Amino acid sequence: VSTAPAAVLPGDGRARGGGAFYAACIVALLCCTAALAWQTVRLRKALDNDFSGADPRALPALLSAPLPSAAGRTVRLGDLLQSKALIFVFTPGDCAACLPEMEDLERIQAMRPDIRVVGLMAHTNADEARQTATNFGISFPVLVDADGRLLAALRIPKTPWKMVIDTRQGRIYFQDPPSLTALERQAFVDRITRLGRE
Amino acid sequence: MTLFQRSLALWLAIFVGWAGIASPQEARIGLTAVRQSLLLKTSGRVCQVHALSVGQLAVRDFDLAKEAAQALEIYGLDGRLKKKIGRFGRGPGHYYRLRDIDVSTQGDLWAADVDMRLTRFSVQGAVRETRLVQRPGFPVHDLALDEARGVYFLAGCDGEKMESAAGCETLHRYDLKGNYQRSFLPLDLKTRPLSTAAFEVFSMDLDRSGRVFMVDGPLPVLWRIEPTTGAVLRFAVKSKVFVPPPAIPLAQITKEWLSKTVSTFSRLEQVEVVAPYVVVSIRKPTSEVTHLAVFDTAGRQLAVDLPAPGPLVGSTAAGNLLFARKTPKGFEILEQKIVRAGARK
Repeated sequence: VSTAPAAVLPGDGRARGGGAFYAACIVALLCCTAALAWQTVRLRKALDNDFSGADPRALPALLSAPLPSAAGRTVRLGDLLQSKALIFVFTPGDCAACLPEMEDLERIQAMRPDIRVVGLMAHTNADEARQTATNFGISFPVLVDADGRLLAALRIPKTPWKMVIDTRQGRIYFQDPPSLTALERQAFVDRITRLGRE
Repeated sequence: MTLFQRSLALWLAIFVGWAGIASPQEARIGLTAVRQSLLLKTSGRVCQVHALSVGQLAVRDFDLAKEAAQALEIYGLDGRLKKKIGRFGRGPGHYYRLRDIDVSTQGDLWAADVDMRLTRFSVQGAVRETRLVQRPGFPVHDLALDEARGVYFLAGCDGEKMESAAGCETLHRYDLKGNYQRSFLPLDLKTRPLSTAAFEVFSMDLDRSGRVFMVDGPLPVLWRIEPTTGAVLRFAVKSKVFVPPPAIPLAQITKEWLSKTVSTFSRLEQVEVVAPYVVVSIRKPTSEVTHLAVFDTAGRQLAVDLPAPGPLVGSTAAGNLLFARKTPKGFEILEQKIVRAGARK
């Protein structure tokens, strides 16, 4: 019986220790990736809950419904619009916070005459709509969705809401929730002024 | 003079000095019960109570977490619900965030809505008038009617200044027809360490001479505004139970963050003027435990952290405070009077 010790290859122990280290790293990386994915899903879900966006399926109803205007007439939104339109959906109660956005819309109207800006004021009547338009110096046409039925049909999650639509194909180019900061507002203006020129 | 006489004189001087200098009122201010009634209301909240001239109570029930359930209710002398006035919504005659109510001398109810709307209801529930608060426009937190001088005040948070570290507090005066008269701003730039816009809740009340006393939830300050001169005076609210909310940018506030932190801070909730006192209630949004800071109308703090039987919900014309306490049967409305127990004549 040989009593000679088994040959030990140099670096063997280190190699076995290194393997455990690499395995631990991989497990940690997998855990991190899983946690990140889970967080992303949660964040997406939270965002979806807040800003799920308007439903384009209700656009034909919006365009064809006869609506009272702040000017005192009854008009169809579709009759007012060109191929591209920016619909600004708001209520009289939004206007303290959305006053800067209102100014942006006036600027957009001047910069892009091919994009018609129209306001859709919900949960109000024609008198209040006219008063609001006067108080905030709104020059674009404002239509009234008195009981908020169109707002509900479009599934607009919050107001003020902005959507740029293709009136012929009834699709939404893009839409934005309320802009809270100057940066968000500028991003919206930049985006709309680039539309169709890229 | 012997050593004994000197010691005696010293002790006497110390005693007289202590008796004269120490605030005697602070320990003497207390509450005493006047009467109590039971509202047979087993759900919702009682945030504000106004005694109506016909012996009924107008109750404001407001809960941001259950906004569709908020209501303006009239209860009879028997404590039963007589009528609900208006309803949740954003249109004329509705209320979206019913922050405050006030009662006119004719008995009409004015409802101040964060949604920049003032609505005047009759006690029978008819919408007499609805006004948009747009020139200038801001979310309204509180309303104070001063019919004797033909004006009303609206306090709130200017939406355009919400992110400003200088604060968003807004106080405007209007005539009774709704025409804007003037603003009382800036209130106080020194007071505000950082933007606490997410927690701003304004409350105000008027004294007999038409001066406005106002607080803002996250700031330990009582403001007194003189409408005739526009002067704004600031009095510190000293309290050990007041824990202000953290200053955090609006964009970083999420529902999750709020739910974790809301139980950690308190705020100045309500101010009531019951001459000659001005009472400020301090409460955590998640707790019914309420403490009071009592001032005189000159701004001297007379009592610190006086325990109250429940949230302060209003005051009566007789100068008593109204507290609401939830019980299994309903809400007890406790009418209590401020007394100076053993006050020296």
